[in-house]
Amino acid sequence: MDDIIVLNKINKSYGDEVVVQVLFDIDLSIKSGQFTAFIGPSGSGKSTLLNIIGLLEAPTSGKIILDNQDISGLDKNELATYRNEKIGFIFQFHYLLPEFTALENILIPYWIGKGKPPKEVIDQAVYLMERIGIKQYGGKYPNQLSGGQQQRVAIARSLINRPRIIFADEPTGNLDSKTSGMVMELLREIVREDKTNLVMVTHDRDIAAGADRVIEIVDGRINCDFTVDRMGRKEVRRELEHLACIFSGAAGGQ
Amino acid sequence: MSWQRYVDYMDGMKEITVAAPMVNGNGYIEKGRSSFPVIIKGITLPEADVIYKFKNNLVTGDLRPGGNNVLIGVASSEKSGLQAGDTFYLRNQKGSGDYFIIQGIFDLGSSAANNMVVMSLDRARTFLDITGISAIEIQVHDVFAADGLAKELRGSFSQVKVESWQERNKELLSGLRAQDTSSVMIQFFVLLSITLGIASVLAIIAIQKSRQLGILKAMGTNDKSAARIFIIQGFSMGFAGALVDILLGLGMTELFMFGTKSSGGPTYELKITLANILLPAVLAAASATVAALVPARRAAGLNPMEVIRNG
Repeated sequence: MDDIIVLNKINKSYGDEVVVQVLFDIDLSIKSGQFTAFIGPSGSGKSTLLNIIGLLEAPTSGKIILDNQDISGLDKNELATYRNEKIGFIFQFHYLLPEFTALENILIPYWIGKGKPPKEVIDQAVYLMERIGIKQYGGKYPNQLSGGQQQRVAIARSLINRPRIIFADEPTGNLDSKTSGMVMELLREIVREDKTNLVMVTHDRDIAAGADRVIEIVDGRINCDFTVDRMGRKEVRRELEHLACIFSGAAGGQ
Repeated sequence: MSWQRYVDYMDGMKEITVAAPMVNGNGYIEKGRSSFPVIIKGITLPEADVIYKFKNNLVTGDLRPGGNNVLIGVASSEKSGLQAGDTFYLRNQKGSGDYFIIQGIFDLGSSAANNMVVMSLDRARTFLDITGISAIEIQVHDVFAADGLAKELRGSFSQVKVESWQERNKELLSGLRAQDTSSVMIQFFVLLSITLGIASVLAIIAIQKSRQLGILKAMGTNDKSAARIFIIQGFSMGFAGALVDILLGLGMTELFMFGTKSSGGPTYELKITLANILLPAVLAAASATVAALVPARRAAGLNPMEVIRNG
């Protein structure tokens, strides 16, 4: 299987006068068709890494290859187009636009890239809503939906352009455990069925345990890297139990 | 030199459209026990009609003043209740008078002009007991060349008083100029404050919506499109505002005309041209669009990470 993501010596620093380095020489490749979880304590740099791979932030140095394309040479607008066409985002906060209905929110990424959506795309949006169980809420505005429903709309929105990679930063961070379980089940199903790639930052041990690969980031470096294929799910879970301390931190941070 | 020679001389000047001899005086229309003050004007019709356009502004009757047949203004007609065909007694300021027949009634659009009784030049001379004439009214091709022409005529004729419309209405003209200047000033500052107002409203919107903008940019909206949102919004605000203002302006003009109306028609003639409407509308839309540049720049420069990192 090809590598969908290849990172080569990624460094990231913030500040001009006082320079704080948050990522140190990250080398990483992620195979296609996988669910990868980034874990680590707050401030470890995992969200920054996700944002860099998601092309939302530029690394201070290093090379990013997504889907066999070197991203390093792209300018701001080309990056925006790339994000629109190839990447889906799910954030901890749903960030739905309150002026638009659920269905319209789902269609926004298409509208950004290609303008008014044709019937096939609207049908696809309706199909996605049906698939994730929110078909009946298409005409409702975000403030008329519950937290779980809003997050599911955000998931459908991330899928409308059939992205190659979905980046999710604590997608269940704001949800109760039952809703969180449902949302995760849905994401796993989508990765499996659509053969897409999911890269997620999480603080939740159970969620991480369901991933195909778990990468622990500590102090801006890769600390551990578990693969279910190699170790078996049981062993991965046991290792995660072992790392219990890191899951006690609050969500968020860099 | 007889007045006819002045007229002939001026008829030969290319700057002059027409030179019309006039006899002017005051009098009273007497009806029962009432008397109504009027301005009496003696004219030669072909020349005077070029200036006053009686023919085009005749409300009723015929345009043939001559002998004791006269034209009266619509204001005099309304005040005195006289109609075309009526005979009335007109008294001059010396107290003598005569009976005249109303041939026609005109409406020249100004209450002063509509208060005239117009008769033939010769009849006015005998009625007002004037030898010669009161004035020669001149119409020129270029209104703003009147001052220069007056100077030239003054050089040629030392025995008569030559007055251009600017000199005659000196105070009015300087008043109008002052009004014009202050009106331009007011318009400028109104435009400036509106532009700043729209800019600040849009700037606040840009801040309020930075979350949504950030997420749109994360999903692939480029800087140009993000800026365009505000430019379009600024233009729409300006355009909608201009439409509302046009309606309000027209409404207020009507109200003003209605409020200042005197008997015999409007006191002022107000012509609203398409340019009067379009120019401010275009200016409003353009200034609002310019005002939108500030938030548009902000939107273009917004980094989606600011929003995502800070929630």
